[in-house]
Amino acid sequence: MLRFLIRRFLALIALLIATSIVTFLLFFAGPSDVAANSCGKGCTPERIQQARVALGLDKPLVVQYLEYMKGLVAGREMGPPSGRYWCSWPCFGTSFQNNRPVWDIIKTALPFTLSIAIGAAAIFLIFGVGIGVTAALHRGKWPDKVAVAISSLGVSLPAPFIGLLFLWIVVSKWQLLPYTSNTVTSPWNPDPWTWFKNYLLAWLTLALIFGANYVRLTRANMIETMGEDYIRTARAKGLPSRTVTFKHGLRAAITPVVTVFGLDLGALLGGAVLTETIFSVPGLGRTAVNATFNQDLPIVMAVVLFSAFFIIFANIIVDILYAVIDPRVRLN
Amino acid sequence: MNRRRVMVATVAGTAAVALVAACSSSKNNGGGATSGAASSAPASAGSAAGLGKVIQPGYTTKGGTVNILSDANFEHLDPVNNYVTNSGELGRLIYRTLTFIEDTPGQKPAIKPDLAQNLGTPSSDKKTWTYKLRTGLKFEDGTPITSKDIKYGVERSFATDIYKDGATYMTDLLENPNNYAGPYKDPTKDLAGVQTPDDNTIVFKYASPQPESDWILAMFYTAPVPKAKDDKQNYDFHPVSSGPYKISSYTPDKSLTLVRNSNWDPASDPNRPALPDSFAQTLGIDIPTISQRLIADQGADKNAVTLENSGAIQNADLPKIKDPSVNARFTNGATPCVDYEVLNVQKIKDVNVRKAIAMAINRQAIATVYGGAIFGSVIDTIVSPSIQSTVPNFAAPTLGLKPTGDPAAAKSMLNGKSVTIHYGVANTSVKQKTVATQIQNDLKAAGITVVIDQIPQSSYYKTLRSDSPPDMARAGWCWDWPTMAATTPPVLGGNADLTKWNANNFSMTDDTAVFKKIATAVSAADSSGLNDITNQQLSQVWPLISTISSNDPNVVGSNIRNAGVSTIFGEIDLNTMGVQH
Repeated sequence: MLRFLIRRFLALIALLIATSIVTFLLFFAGPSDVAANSCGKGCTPERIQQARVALGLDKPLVVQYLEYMKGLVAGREMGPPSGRYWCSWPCFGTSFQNNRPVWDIIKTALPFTLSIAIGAAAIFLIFGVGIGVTAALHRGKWPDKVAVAISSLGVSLPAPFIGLLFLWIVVSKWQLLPYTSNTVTSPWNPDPWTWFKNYLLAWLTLALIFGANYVRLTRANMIETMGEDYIRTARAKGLPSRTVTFKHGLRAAITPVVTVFGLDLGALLGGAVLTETIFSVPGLGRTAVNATFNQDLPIVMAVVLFSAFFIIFANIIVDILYAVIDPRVRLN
Repeated sequence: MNRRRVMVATVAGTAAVALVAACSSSKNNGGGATSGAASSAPASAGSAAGLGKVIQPGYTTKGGTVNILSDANFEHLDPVNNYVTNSGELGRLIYRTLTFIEDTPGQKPAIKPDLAQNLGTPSSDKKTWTYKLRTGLKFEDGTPITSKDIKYGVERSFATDIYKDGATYMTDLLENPNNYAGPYKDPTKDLAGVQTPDDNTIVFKYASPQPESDWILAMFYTAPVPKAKDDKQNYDFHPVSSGPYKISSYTPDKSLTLVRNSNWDPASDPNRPALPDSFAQTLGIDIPTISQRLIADQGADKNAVTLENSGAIQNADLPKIKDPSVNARFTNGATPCVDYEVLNVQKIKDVNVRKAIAMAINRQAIATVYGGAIFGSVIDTIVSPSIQSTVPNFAAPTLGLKPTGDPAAAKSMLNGKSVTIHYGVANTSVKQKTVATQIQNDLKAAGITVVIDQIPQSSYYKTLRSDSPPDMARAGWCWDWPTMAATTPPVLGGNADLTKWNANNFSMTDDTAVFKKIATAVSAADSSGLNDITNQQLSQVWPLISTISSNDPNVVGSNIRNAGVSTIFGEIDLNTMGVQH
């Protein structure tokens, strides 16, 4: 197990470095001329050059990248010649827009994204798997038909449609829930009930979209698993139906679901762009969108790195869980 | 003054916000055009669009909190970098400037003294301007404000390697014989262009006559900055107040709260009624949600306004504005911005071709793309309606153009000549692309072939300024102060030595005699003369065709009083606003 963990941790580092190189090249070596674009009404070539120096874009790409990576682990000095300042590690740079440290921006956005991702993931996993199992056990009957219909609908509907519909009906028309507030950052701030009300619609929006896949996946796997010989053997041995279904059936059927869940959760932690935008949640996704439109490359780069980290890390957790859930899988 | 980040792209952003559907959160990039916009918007631009209306005027009661609903974070609060309209509205609540542009909604803009006792006293050549400060001026910590604090604020604007987003008039216009480059690089140097003979006197020395010095000094670079509190880039997050409000708390991307500055003396400041006790801004709210909340007018949103362009109003919201309960809370005002189509005279050399293009374009259709009459109206001049009243005997040029275009007349004028032009469009702007296609069709009917060239958004203006610009492209201008001198020279004038077009003259007109005429009229503060030159250029040289004068429609909460759109910022005016509590 330890060797596995070390191996995967090293792979995580290597993947992150590869991601950082690709992302860095994509954004900093691209055609976008941030310095020229940031030059205001009194734009002159001299001012563009000053902006380029101030943003650190005047140095060769390799130097820019190495300085960036150095900043991540040890901090670095930044800024224009007469306004140099120290950016402490982990230094993701400062915003091109307002000079705010990107690490501060990430720290501000992360609790919102965590709130959305964890709540939504809990709902779509529990209900998705639960409905999928129910549908499989009642194959061809009305619970199955209803589950398939709902999951088809969930797969088909885009997040903006569901989200805006929720906002319009539940918040604006019926006034059952408040508009999302950016002062609610966690179950402890200010309290669990406020937190629940604040994010419920965002969770449900994501749960409808993601949950549909879990229903379909669980249903298909359960149907397949419940037809296996060892299930028939278990039943023949006289094991209770609940034990057969959950201990032998679901445990085997759920491994692909765990894989998908790991990826989904990782992606959500990287920012649910559309949902965060619709519900005005200033998480990583919305931060990335705003930064992209403003060509605030350090923020975009940091969010991409964070997203990559979450996805890779979630995959490692999934690999570990595989071994726990399915004894046939061994980590070595 | 910039209406958002991209200086001359501002009009695009203004109307785009109104058009952007829920699937996009862009502020500056175009949204999609919808044919429904025109039918749902009032037919005529004037009173039906609510222009100049002040909601519940005459309110004088102090107290209460105004809630400001906002999307993204504003760029800068540091006065040296504050050059965008939404932060400008906040800026003039926090800091005072030497002079003040009074732009009470619905009234003609006027220049007033602010920190200064009176407007400036010029020398005979109008190169040197002297200002005496009021007495009893204090920063938020009680420290007296002196002329040296104002000079220090101006000095900071010379540190262009650090502060790159502010207005550049001080570095452009002041005397600077020793190449002063800000207070940090070489602290032993002095800014010769600003003198402070005593704590209550400040003297500005320009390199050339500046009859509009009073207007020029109304911009935020004359806000006083205490040297001891200047921590360079970080000053952005805690500018020291000299105005009626100070920052109580500020978490970028989340919230900003302004409360009363107890060291501001209302007796020293006739320009700011400062009615509310506080302003509470919430950031990070999706633009369509802002519009929805303002229209719904529930709970704390009864005290709410927005500083988003076009009041965050969405196309889908237009029918709701007709509802009497919402319409009573609806106001609109002209922004300082005019949009136009550049006809580059270096590329399209035949004036008749330029004129034919102007004749063929259906500008009414472009107005529809912009969202209809509420968001802007067709205009013949580059002079924004918001300042036309400041020009004696103002007249727009006689162009003889139909708002809906006349391709047949244009075709006949070309007399069978085969013309192909390249139209540049920012590659991420849906709205610009829609307008480009509209123009392509209009000109096709006139026998002109239009090739649409996509330009990366980030290098759009760089391309327009380059040695290989497109023949035609969209641009716009928003004046920095409401006079002709802040309108004609940048759009149609020359560079500093009048030998070539300036960086914002995208038409690249090269008639140095005209540049000299413009400079002479500026020196003489001859706004009528500038308007005549403008009209002569637009009607005879055809360097551009003005398209849309943009508006800033807003719905406010039902408790908001004295609500109107300010002329200078083209946003809902926080300065004159009150709140029923």
